[in-house]
Amino acid sequence: MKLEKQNIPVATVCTDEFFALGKAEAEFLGMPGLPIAAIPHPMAGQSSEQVTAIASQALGEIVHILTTKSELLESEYKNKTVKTKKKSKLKHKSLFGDEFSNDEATDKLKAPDSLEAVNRIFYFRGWTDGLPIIPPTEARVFRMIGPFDREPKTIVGTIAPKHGEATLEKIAINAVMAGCLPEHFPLIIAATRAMIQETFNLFALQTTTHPCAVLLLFNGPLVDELDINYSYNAMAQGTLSNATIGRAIRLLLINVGGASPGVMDRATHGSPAKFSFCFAENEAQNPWDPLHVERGFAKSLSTVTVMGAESPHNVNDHGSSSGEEILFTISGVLATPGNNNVYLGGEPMVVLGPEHAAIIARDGFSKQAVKQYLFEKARVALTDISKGNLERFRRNHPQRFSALGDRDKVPLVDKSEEIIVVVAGGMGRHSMVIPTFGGHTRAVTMPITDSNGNPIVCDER
Amino acid sequence: MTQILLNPRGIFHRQENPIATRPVSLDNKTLGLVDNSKTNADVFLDRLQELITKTYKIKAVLKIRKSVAGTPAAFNEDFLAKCDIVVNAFGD
Repeated sequence: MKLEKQNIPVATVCTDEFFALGKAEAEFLGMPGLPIAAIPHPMAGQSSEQVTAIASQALGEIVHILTTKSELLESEYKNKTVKTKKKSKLKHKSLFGDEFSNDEATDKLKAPDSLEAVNRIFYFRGWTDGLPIIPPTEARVFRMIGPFDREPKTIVGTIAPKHGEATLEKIAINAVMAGCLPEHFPLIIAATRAMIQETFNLFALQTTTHPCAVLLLFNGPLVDELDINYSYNAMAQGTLSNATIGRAIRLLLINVGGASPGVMDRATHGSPAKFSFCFAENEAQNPWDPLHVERGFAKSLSTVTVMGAESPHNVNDHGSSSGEEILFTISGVLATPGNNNVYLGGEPMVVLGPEHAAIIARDGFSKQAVKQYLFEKARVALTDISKGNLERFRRNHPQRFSALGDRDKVPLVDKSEEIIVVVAGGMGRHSMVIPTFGGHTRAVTMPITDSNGNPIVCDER
Repeated sequence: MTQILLNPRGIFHRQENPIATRPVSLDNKTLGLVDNSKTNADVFLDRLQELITKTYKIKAVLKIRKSVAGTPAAFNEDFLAKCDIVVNAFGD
């Protein structure tokens, strides 16, 4: 679209499975008449002969797009749809599937006074995550915004991929639906501000085939104030704050961002982390600085760090008796050929359980020494990467692969500091590794503030 | 009995920008090829280049490859100044 806006005609090509995504992207970035040539899906896995045959078949439409009068093309392509071979398996129609109603007159909805009926309506409109929601009445939304002293229509930002406006009111509506308390509202605002930062690259996270979720990690005094779990089962069910804050973010991504499964959210499988992936750091049992201090914030401040992350993967190590042995095990779990950090680098996270952290610190490892060890040991042998993948990596990411021989190993990051190390969990000889979407998304840490931008201070306990 | 609920969907302010003016023919044009690094995008574009240059008097061909499909392409000044037409492949 950048080229089109500079009056350079472009024939944009998409596979038919992604035609709707391409069209929606064009529409919501301000060029609904962008002509897109559709080719059969998939193109990966096809032989060169098949690909060249597809290119030959596509030539006619591509030349048509490059030489037909622009007004005629816009009219032809504005309402064009492409039938894909597989029928969508969605059991409900998302309003974001084919159209996005911008009618402000529908800001208030008349609905039956029945919890079950409201849930049916919201579910079949694609406004939920599949779980029951709390109906967002005016009273509930008003209470959610509560002491946040700003006009409810104040825009915090826009949420990709469809760049819907995230007003305080819209954030509050989705927070009510998720089951949040008003005390959670500043945390959700902070998380929203963090994930719309450019370096986080939310558009890519929302529309990729990769199973990345928005991980929320909280630090600081608000963790205890609001009972955000950092101990036993911290990454799972059972705690209101963990479950609902993460869920509110997901509902915002669906409803304000416009990413519905199979339409703009193209995650092949997704993951359970996309329901809610929210926990806190176990600062009391962290032998080193907590993450927010490491990233330049005062310990007394409360912050949220967002990351584009896969589901966590367990590291079970009951037998190692030294810190180095534990880190050796962790390195082996981190260094697997199928994760994005192998070819894209980035900031994979290691969540040390407190028992593992204590042993590692006891043996003299600083946090940076932990990162350095992991940087050196958590590397994937190029012989463990398929021939096809390795060819693609070498071609597309020469900065990471050109200096490596076929028998070398590739690190998961470009420098040790990029590995994020935190401490969370209860007792038990377990840690977690969390690969991320890759180097084109960066973790963002945001302070949690009131409506005037002042850090929220908790009473001393 | 009914109740009033608030709509959770975001508001989008839609713009409508026109697409670029098209030439009548591809003859004497500089062709730009944008490879977004998806598997086989290079094979696809190579074949298109072969076909287009065989059929039309193409002045020159300029190529760009993105290193990561999920980020916007960075077009250099030369590409922007010289290309008359571009093929961008492919979203998948």
